[in-house]
Amino acid sequence: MTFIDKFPTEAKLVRWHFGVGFVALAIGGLFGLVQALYRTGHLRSLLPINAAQYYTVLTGHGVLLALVFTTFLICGFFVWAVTRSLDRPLSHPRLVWTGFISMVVGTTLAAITILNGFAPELPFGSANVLYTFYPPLQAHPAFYVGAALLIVGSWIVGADYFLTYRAWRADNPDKRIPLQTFMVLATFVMWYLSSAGVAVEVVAFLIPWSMGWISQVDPLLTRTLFWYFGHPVVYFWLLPAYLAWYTILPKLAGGKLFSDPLARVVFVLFVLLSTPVGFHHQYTDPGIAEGFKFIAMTNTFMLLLPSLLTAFTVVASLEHGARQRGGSGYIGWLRALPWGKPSFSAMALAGLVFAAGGFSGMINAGMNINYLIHNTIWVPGHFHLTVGTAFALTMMGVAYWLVPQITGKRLQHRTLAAIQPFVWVIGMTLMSNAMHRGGLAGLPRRTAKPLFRGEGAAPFDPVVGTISEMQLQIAIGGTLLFVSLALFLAVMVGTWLSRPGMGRLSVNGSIPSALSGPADSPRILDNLKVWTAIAVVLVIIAYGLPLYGMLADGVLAPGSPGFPV
Amino acid sequence: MADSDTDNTDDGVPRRWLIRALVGIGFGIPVVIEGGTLVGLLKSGLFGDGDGDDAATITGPTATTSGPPPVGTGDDLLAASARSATLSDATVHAATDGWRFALTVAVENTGDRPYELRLGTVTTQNGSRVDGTAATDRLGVGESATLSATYALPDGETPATMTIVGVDYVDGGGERLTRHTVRFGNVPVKR
Repeated sequence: MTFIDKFPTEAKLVRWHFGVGFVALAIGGLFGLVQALYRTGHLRSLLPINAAQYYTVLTGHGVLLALVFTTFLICGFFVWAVTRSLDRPLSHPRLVWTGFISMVVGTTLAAITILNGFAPELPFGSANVLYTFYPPLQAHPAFYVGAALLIVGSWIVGADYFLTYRAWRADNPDKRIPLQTFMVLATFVMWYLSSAGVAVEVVAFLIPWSMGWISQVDPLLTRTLFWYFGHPVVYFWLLPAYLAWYTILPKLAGGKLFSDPLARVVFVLFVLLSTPVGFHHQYTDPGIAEGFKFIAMTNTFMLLLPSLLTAFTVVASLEHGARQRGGSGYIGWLRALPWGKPSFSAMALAGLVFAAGGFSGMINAGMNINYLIHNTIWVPGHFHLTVGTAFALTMMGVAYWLVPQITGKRLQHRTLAAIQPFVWVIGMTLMSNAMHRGGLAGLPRRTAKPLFRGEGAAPFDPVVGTISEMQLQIAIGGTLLFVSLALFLAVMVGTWLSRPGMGRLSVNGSIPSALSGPADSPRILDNLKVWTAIAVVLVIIAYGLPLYGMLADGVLAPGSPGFPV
Repeated sequence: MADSDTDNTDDGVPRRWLIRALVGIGFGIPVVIEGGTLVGLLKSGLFGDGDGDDAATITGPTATTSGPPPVGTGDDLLAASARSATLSDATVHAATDGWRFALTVAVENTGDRPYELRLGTVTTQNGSRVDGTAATDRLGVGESATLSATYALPDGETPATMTIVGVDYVDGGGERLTRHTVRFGNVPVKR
């Protein structure tokens, strides 16, 4: 029995979350293409924007993809994961609908303020504050209210995961938490803990400031609250991808997860270490003692451990699957993997690209070497490998596998689907490689015309290649990414609009049990209360004194008035 | 039961070849690009002149990863020779009627023979070549001179390198020419 037949209400929830997320993906992706071409100067004269509107495009690209697309996809994906793994419907589906509506209203408000940069006749005002919305750049209050509603909506959706788990636990007092539900709950423990920072920033400071109720805010304090959330949000994106890699990918490869206990250890480590790391985004900020930046650095490097454990476990699981399919040899088993299956190839390629993103992330995290690439185009080069591929491409793979299960319709345009992940990886390789090299040369990020004032490439010192060649490579890569996105959307729209029963629906939504099951691990791993308490203590150690120092001279001082953009 | 996105009936020979081609291209292009970058980094790190980024390519299709270190205002253009030629000023003036590269060089004949310095062709970051003919007079031992020159550059382009020729007047009336290529660092553009 397919998911939609067994859990029709939940399937509808997943569809709506995915649907809104895909709309955000389409618009944000189009903005990405415009951005890549404008910034690199290729076809700039043909684009319908000017340099000031570049920042509107940049804000829309970041907000719609990094915040909206991700949050909707994650919330919908987790509805499926909890329902499927607990094998029971959600306990309060209306609660999830409430959260969904909150997110839609929030997204609409924020989107209107962003689009105001193109059409000032739209309601509210503009919000060219980029997706980090750093003060003293000031957006219209509707932008901040929209952001708050998006976050609060995700909290409401998440609450039902816990309520459903509680109901399941009442019926199954002695069972281990099913792995997918454990991963969902761990992710949301981390999400609640970390997103509290941005909630305080927006509700206590930015909304009153933009409304004129307070005249100034402390930029360092608000930046710190943002990055308290801003790095864990990376794991809010990645952990759903991990869930897919651990539980769906081995099955698609024809095998089983290698180790359930190792997967639980990984998620526990992320609960503990995801949050006390935000200062590594603030290495160049004054007003934060070096010692606390050092603590953030060590915690960040500790996060390599669960990532490396994941690499080991997932690759071992894939090898097991490949050998079940007849693969052999030290490397030869790779050929036995189902590369023609788009759900598999998208997730597997996303995992490979994520490994490269992990290496560039180490450069970001190092206190000394970070200065080399800080605020350069290296940084977007890095996170297009992580959220832009590890998350986005994994979710595309998930969609290829899951959308037939939640719609009851056979996947359409399957050849396009088979091609799409490879086009994405080639485009991302071109774009991200050039971005990393540009960053080493000092090419700035967040700049409409980095080769400004006609100085051309003269101020930059590339180690490999030339600036003009990198610009061309970014433009080609961005174009290929948009082509790949169009292919994906064509498959999704074609599937969604196809008639039910058109073609044979061959869905197997079962997930095989792990080779090493949960019984092989201590029960303490499932005690999320313990891990939450330890995570809170680590946060207090990492942030207590620095925040006290920032607040000691006044909550709003040293303050800055707003600069509306 | 097959997975939702797998359809064995589609796995004919053309589709198998398509997948093989995709895998080959999908892995091949990233390996070539990243491998080329790695080789470039290793060449720069292991076989460069040890000055890090400053000694590497400045930019532009004509620039190379080797050669003399870039010079800026205050640097000696003839650091490797017995004469002194200090770059006093180097500016690109971006005017509406065209871009001009103006430079001033303070030359001092610190050698033991009469000397003359000639400024030659400027090559821009984009590879355009602009000839020049400025030269000092014949300088006796210990004499100094200030040499100024202006080059009309293509709009939007900045200087990357310049050839200079040192002329030693040897005993008996002959000349000995020594050609140098100067690589410019960041030359400011003013409007």
